[in-house]
Amino acid sequence: MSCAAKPRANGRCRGCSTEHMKDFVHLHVHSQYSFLDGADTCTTLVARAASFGMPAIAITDHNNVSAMVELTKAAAKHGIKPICGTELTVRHEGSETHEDRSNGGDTARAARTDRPAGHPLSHLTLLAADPCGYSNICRILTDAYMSSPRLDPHASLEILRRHSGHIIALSGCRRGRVASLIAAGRFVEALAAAKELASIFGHDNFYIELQHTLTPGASALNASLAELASAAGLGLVATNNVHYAEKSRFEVHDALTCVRTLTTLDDIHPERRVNAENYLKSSEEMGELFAKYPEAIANTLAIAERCTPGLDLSRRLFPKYQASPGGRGCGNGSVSANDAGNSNDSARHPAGEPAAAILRRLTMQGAVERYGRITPAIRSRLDHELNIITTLGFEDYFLAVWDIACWARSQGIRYAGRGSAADSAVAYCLRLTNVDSIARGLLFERFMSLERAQKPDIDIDFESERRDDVARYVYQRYGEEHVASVCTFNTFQGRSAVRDFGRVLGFPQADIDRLAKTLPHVPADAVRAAFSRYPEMRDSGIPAWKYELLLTLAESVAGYPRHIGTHLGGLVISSEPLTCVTPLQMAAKGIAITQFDKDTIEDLGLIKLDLLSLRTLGAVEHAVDMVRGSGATSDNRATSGSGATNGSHADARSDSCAARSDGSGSGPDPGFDFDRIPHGDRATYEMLNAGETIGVFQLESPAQRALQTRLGADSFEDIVASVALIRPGPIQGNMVEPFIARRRGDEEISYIDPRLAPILDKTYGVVLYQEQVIQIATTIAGFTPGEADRLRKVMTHFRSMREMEEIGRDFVAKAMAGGTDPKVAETIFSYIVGYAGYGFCEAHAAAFADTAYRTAYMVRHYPAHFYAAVLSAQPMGFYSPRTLLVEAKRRGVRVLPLDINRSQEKYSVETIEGTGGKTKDEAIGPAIRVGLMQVKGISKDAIRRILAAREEGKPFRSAPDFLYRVEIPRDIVQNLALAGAFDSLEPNRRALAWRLGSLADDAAALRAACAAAHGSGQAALVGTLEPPIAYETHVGSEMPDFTEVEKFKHEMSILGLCVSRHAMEFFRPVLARGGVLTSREIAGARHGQAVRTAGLVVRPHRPPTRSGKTVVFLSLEDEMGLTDVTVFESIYQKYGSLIYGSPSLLISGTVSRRGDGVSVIARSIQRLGRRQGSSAK
Amino acid sequence: MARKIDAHVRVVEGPAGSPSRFYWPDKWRPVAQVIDYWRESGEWWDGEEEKDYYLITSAGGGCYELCREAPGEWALSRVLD
Repeated sequence: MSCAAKPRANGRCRGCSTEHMKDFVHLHVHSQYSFLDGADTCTTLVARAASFGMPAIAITDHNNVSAMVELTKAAAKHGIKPICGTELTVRHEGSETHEDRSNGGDTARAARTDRPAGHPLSHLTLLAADPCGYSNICRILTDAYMSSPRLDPHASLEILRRHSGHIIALSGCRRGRVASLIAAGRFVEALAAAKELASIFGHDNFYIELQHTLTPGASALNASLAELASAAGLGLVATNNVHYAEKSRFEVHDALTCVRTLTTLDDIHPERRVNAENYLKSSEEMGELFAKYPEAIANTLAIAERCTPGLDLSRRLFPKYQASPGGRGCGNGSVSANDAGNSNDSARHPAGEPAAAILRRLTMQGAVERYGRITPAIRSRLDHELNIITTLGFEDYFLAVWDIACWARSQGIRYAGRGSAADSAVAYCLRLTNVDSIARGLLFERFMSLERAQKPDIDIDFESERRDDVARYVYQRYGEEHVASVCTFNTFQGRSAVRDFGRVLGFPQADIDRLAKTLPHVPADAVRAAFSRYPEMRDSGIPAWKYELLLTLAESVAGYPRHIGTHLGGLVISSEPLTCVTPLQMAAKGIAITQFDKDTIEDLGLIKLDLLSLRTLGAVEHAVDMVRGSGATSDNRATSGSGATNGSHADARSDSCAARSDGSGSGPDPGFDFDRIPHGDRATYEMLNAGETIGVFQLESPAQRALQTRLGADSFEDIVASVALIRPGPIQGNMVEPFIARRRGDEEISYIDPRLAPILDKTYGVVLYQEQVIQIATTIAGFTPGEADRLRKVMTHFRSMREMEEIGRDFVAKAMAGGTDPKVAETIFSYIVGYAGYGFCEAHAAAFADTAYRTAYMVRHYPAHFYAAVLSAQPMGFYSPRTLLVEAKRRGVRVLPLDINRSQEKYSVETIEGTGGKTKDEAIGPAIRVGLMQVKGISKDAIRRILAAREEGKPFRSAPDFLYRVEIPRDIVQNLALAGAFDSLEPNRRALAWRLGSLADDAAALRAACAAAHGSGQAALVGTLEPPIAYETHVGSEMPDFTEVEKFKHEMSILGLCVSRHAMEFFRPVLARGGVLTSREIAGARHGQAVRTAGLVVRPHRPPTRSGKTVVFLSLEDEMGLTDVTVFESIYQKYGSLIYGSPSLLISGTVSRRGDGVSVIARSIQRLGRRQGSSAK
Repeated sequence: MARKIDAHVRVVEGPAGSPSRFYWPDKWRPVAQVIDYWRESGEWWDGEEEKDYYLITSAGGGCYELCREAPGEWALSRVLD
């Protein structure tokens, strides 16, 4: 045992002279990718095996090969051989019982528990002898997933027979077929099972697996297995069914097992292991355990020697670009949504034209369309980029993305490129992005460089409702076998760790909920710090030792994958069938996903296409439809010609086809074109300057609103800077205040070195963008683009001060070599260090700023349409529907209640004619109607039935008429009634709710009678069987209606909002008497004024600060708008639990006016309730 | 049938650490054969130590389950018929 504790590099153990090196290899090892059944990372396990001097290691996770890239890399690092494998669940058809068949969906649970020997599911260890074997394992796993219930993969013996080549199989653990039959005393059947498996894999490729983890009966089982192997003429092999690297990790594994089995530590469950022996033991330990079976030890080496690594990480599997069937492509930007994809000679590709030539031709055509004329400077830049793209061999990738963008445009699907791809002029000319990188002076090397030679990453946002259409196109274009979505591994973070381990430790559910909800989004290993820092996390009454164990367990699994999921937008395309490269499995949303995530999939030679879904773009399209009055839905827009996409900013002078100056009081505007919104709209900038940006993409957070009131934005550049400024890096680097001061002219702009002026001019001498860091490094220190990019990476990730200091010394030395004064060089580098943390890419900021400006324009000129669209696209953005409606009302937009005869599926816009609303605040013009989608529990099918009944006939005349014509669940009808949907037909909600049951019974009877009349040929009777219209008049008189408070509570419960009144209106009389100000009154208060204000708490958050102290920002919402509140550390430590535990607050503080912005600095905080409301008198 | 005992007993260990004889209830009983042995981690979250169990037959023919609770500390868990 001493060898296990004291491994030495030479394989010789302290205290003994025996050479143990290279006499055992672990062939059955579970990593973290066994999801809740592996307590150490693959890298840790490989390092441990290498430290024992083992020449190889196999990783065999449950039904997946997700660890294989990590295994291959780690093994290369440690100089040992990686063996790819899996522990497969196998179904033995012959053993299937009727019960098993009828409980197919329940077998996942069965597969994880100790089962009787006759159970049809068993484990089998598969090892890839070479890359062919790896591909066969991928095929087997794919079939196992695709032919089984989603969470219950199992392979048939038939599939094993079909793909058994180049695979070495071990008979498995106690849950293996052979071992379980022996344990049940069915030796003859076990022998037959072993022979059957040997016939599948080949006699020399199938071994009987012995394990001795000091469990009861293990010795006897091994003796029987050895006897069986002898009888069958099969080899033995020893494994330890490893689930963690060191013995001390057993506790983590046991707790993870409890998470997996939904048990607590005090529960007994057969999945929990009896002891801590499933660790990666040394050769000596394994030798001692299997002293009786030296052959079993020796065979591990023999198997390892037969295996070659399964993965080749140097391959390239992206397909060669081929023109669409028929040789047709589509043009670039000049092709409108109506005619894109139709015959366009300029995009036809001559047969045999190389991809590089096609890319060059399309780029130059696009350049003409974008710039009008290709100047030498433009040509030089495009040549430079094309040279890098083609030298690195990524022309096919660019063309594939271009092809997808073309198709989307031809279908009227709105999209916008984002990320560092916007640094590329080629991407701009191909209309993949909308940022003119040449005009902005953006560095292509931030995106791609010869030195870095990394795979490019072009991210494109598509409108959310049609992103899947784009994905479908890719599947059709390249074939189902060649395309799949990239998986993502949902890893343990702070909240998930607290929830999981809190339950395992038996915390009360209420405590778990409170802890998880109040915990900021931090990694699982930062929970301890959060618990000590945030007052609302403490004082739960839970025993200290349990808290300590919770924190320890959370730290132990930080970043471990918990389960597999689907990447939001990543697709991979492969030249080879994907099942040769990765197993595929079905995701919950019914699409095939890979078993490798976005990082590891590229190591396999594949390139990920990021086709993302952006709800903002969907909301834009919905809003545009409503503005135009087309009422087009996402389904018919493809042919409506409305979907021009990805256009550039229209010049302010050419705004003839953009909007009217103010659409808020007008009817439909069929000529509205989102892509030709004028760039310099004064009214839009005035709105930004007022900080009235709720609903505006990227600019709506309280911090952004506060920035806008001080920045005085008057150009697109200011918006680009805004997007980049409100980030952790600039905030912590103290760049926001100097930027604002210089922007406003309050502070002089100076440069320590004149060479910085052209680089930092656009940001007033402040280092704001990653591109600027690269330019500084190349200009001042003469870094190559690759060196500069390394600096950018070190700076943005900022994982190590030592690394930063190293590169700093390099920077200063090179700058000095170029003649720069050392003090100047050091000062310049200090700018960069100050910026370290979270740098932001200018290209990305510019891409987002484009959408931000346009959505700001929509909010300013079409608030009803845009807010209706944003409300329909929830969840999105920073605010709840309730807050968005408050903001719409504040802007004078009338909000109309749910109405069974007028509400559409989504929020819609109705034009109010006549003299306006009841009060002067209720403006005439476009008004927002609450959509049926807002009703809790309502299904799309129920909405479809309501709308179909309404459209087929006439409006509903009464509640019975509705119940007669629409068959939907009664609880949904009840919700509609309580939410006021029938108010226009039956104003007494209580009476209607009271009678709904009998009314629904009557309606059902009436429908049955009608059906019978139709069936008997007595159609004439049907007309006499209609529901009574005048019904509601006597129902309403039976009982008093709900009170206003009751109606409010029902609406809040069912809709999450109340159209007729705001919660604060109930408090207002008392609050007003107590001198508590409304948000509107706060907006007019003077700087430094002591005030009290109250409202519903909106999005309290604790962004990082330069000082490191905690500052909480929140908004208080009342019936007139929002009041922003700042809570500094001392006040927060006193009232933190109130801020995060109360839906509404009464806050005393002082008014702070900065620029045009107003906020309240909190001094004391109270919970707002009935009692506190009274105390406000 | 098995009878639960859970009583501390004196045990003399062999070279490999397994029991060679034990004293219960009033005499030393040589171990004839170790039928099985296993290890249990117990309730680690409550600070419980790892224990080794030995299912043995004595020279007299009885079947016993001995537990090493800590180095040098043994208990007779059960007597089996």
